[in-house]
Amino acid sequence: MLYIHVGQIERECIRTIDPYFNRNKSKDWFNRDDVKRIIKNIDLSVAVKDEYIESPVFGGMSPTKLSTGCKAVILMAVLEKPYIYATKCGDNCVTDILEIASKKDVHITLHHIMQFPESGFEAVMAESEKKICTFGGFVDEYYRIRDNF
Amino acid sequence: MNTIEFEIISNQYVCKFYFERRINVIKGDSGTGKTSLLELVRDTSPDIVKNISLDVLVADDLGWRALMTASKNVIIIFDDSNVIDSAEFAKCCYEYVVKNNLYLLIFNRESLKIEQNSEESGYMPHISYSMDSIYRLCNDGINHWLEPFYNLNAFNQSSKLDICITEDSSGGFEFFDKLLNAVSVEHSDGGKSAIVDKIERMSIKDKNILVIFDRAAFGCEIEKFVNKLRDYNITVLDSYECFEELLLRSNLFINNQKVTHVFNNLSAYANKYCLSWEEFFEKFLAYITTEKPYKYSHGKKLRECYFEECGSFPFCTFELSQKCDLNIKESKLDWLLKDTKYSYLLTFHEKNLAKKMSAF
Repeated sequence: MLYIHVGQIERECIRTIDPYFNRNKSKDWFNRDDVKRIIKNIDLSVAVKDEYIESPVFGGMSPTKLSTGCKAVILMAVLEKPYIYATKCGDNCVTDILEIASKKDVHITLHHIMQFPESGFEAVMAESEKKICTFGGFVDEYYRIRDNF
Repeated sequence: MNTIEFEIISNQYVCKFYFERRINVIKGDSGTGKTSLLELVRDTSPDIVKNISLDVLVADDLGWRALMTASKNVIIIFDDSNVIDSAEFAKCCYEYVVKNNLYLLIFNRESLKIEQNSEESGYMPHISYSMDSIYRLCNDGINHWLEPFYNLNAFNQSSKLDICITEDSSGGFEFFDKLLNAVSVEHSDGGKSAIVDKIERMSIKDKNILVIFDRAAFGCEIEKFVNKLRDYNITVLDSYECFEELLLRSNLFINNQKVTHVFNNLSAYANKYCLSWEEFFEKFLAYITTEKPYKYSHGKKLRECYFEECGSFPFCTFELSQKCDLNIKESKLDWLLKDTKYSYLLTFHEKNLAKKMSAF
């Protein structure tokens, strides 16, 4: 399940994605099918083996050169209890985030309106514990909570 | 300097764009080349071509304040910064951006709206930045450019209109209420941040709604506006900066050389004196009308000179009219707007019609 926090960023939430990812990455991550798919979907690059990635623009490169959004989604996939500041993720990360959250609990903090699909997904607004399944429901609950801080 | 040029060329990456306001926000998808752009900005290798109007500095979360207070005549890039919604950042913007001739490129998806529970004490207004200075970084692999992030339906002469909501509750509202007398006009009763709630409360999903807000200072509100009202039939005025801009573009000032000169060099003048163009237009209109009978004061009641025929209202006495450079003996609203940028608004102005009663 996807748990969406929209209030203040809590201490457990990973906010500084790049340094955290660069410090903790493991070559095993990039041999996983789900991580390869994330890198392909978001950065249009191919994780060939271990930490060798091929970008259509830059050629061979290290995972440290992946976009911040891509790194954030990889962390959601590989960490046991991910809690990520997902405002670092662009809208092209949404499909992968929902895919990961369909298999395990993922906590994210959002301080912007992420463009979720109109329907066909499930998430829980952490502050109100309200379940949402439409984009409109997310928008309404997002502003209801944030406007009443 | 009218427009800031930003061009970086390497063998793998080309980025070219222009911007003209002090505060610019860039958001959008992940993996569009933002990180590469910052690497090239920092890289001083001779094979990288840089055509940038000013020097560029990249701020981090520890040193941003020192950069803003000590740097002059530079572009400062904030990349995924954690400080942009703080009261301290807003304070620095108001204090140093104009004074030090700074241009900010902010790569963040968060609004610059100050967090309500910010730890800093004291009142600090949200940063006034334009919804038109929010961009999306686009690319085709090698080439990178900026596009407007928000493309709202532009109101035009053929648009149907049932109701108009204005941000302004004073002079601007009064003006539009008289101008759009063929439709119902209401104000948000709380400025720009109250517009969305006002429309939701009115139950007007089936109506054609024109919303008039100051684009020049709507950056903090536009995300909520677009996402909360996406099921409504809403249009906005195309490139409408603020009410004062509309008046300055009216026929009242068509032969005013100062106004013409300023509009021909708008970004240079506006950026020189004010953080936001809204504030500039307010001050400029007040300045050029300061000794006129049709003196304008922002937030105050609008003088009848802007909507009543000259000599037809008590304030416009014979003595005063002798000192005035206006003597318009026809519908003032028609005269003000005909053949101007905003002349299509006259479509909803019926001469000799008393204000239509609200149907809502």
